[in-house]
Amino acid sequence: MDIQIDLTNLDQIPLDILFQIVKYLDPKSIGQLVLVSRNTRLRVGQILNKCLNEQKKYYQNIKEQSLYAKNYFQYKELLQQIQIFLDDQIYTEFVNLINVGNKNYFVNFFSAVFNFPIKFHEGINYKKQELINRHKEVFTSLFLLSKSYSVPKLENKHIFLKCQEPKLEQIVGFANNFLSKLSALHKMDNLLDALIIFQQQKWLYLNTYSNIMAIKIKEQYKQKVYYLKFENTYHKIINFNINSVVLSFLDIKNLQKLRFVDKMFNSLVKKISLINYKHFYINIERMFQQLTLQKELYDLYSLINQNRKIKMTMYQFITNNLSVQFPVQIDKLFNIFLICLGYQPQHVTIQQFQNSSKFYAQVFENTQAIQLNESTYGMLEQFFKEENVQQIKAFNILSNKICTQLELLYLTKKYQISQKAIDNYCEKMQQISDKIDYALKFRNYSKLIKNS
Amino acid sequence: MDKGSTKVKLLSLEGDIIEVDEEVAKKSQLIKNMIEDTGTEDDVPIPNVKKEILLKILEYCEKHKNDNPPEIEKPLTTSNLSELVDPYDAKFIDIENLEQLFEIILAANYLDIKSLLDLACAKVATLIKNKTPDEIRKTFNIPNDFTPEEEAQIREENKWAEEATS
Repeated sequence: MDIQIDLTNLDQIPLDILFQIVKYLDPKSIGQLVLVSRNTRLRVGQILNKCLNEQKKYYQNIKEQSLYAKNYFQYKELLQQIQIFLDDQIYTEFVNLINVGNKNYFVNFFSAVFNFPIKFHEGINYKKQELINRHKEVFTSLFLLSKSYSVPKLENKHIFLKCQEPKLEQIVGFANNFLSKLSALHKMDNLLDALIIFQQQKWLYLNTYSNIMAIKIKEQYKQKVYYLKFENTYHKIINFNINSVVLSFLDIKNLQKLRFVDKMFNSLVKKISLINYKHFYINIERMFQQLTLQKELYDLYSLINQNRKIKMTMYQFITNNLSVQFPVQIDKLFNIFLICLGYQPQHVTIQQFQNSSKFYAQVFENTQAIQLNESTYGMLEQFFKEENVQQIKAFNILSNKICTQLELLYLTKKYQISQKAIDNYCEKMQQISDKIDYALKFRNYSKLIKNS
Repeated sequence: MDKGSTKVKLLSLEGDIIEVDEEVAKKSQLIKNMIEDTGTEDDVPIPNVKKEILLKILEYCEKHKNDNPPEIEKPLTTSNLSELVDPYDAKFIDIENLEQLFEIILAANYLDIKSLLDLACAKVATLIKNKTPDEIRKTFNIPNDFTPEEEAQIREENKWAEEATS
């Protein structure tokens, strides 16, 4: 232990430890603690101020991410609409979750709430358990939500599916309209964002429709008023979503995901109108669950697909004279490569690397050549923090590939995912893709028959 | 500890080697990362932790090698920790020597063992909860440098907190 600290004096223990302790105290105890000494008061005050500032920063962050913020408020509104009461503990969990300040957690929470079947204790395979561990907060919140009687039950979907009323056609019409608008944007970058919007819409439809049903046809007048209200709300939300989507998905870089979303939505829309839509609906739900469950892995999968030729790319990188064009960034990257390969940057130059068969062999023949450890991982992290990666990517295709590969290594390390897990996942994703492709072909085939 | 399981050699502050099962050592995120990077063959240096404290911490890790203790409720509802945590954990952390308790906190923080850090911090919090400022000063060896007027003023400012929780 550090001998300079008097470990019997609370005022001398590190502030971050004091913070951990203060977290367990109620306001009254904190009130007593700040009366102990000037220093204690100052330090506890610092902790409280830090918490408040982080809270403020967080909310600022939320505001800036308008889509997510609006989703949050929309979610709250939705809860109110369907008269869900969140007790304090659940609400705290939810706020804590958002306070992580991580978009992914927020997104995952939504997708979890709307998508996941909640069975934590049975038949959980290793990978699923691993995923749950990584999203502990999400699942804790979800688990709490699942225990609340007022939570929307997924089984309520049967109201939608079993309904034979004429209104169903109109609601399906709205859904089609919305989905076609969404898929027509052709600028969508984030699969999960789209899924969230879709899921929210779905809940709104279900909720509104069940309310309409509750009014009963005998109250024609009231029903008409309610229906108009529904239509109004619907358009408001559609407009909001479209705007948000336009704002959020201006980047067109990932057409693969767009195709994915389009396919699923189109398939869903088509299938809903089929007689056996209930069966299909379950299948689609399963696909959504698989996709959502493994969103992060999906990102990795995309990265892998973008670049499977790391060795060749590295060689191209090395043999092209990029260092003249982008000396600073390329030098940094090159040094990181060298360290990954076990060399000291000061001992090897780019020219030596280009001319050395030994280095060449190490890159091309040794599959384990590139190793990330704490040190290189830290350097990569620093590199991505310091450099504008997007800008580097724009320089040219080669450096783009290098960055992509580094990002992959970085993410692999960050999420501690083994190559085997990624490979398994890729295979699974391919199976899902095939199924969706099949569904799409089937739909096109049906169209042909219908038109002939 | 199981025979045949992989052992890890931990090097304490004093330079003593402590041999421990890998799965036990891996309760520490720090050690886990180090093992993943360098393997189990080399000694794992823990230069910030005394042997005595390391042994105590490993006792906790051994007990919890197959489970993760549930989170302790915040804020504490009672100053009796045994009502909030597993009896073993309550007994484990019932340490009268404050210096040792803080050493465990610092070591748990360094070794990145969250559940132990939480447990030990909650223990310290129980020493503060429901105590007067004077009692807290005595417990934690802190001299009072407030004037009576200042103390009265702060009490007045914090009145809302007492009302909120009373």
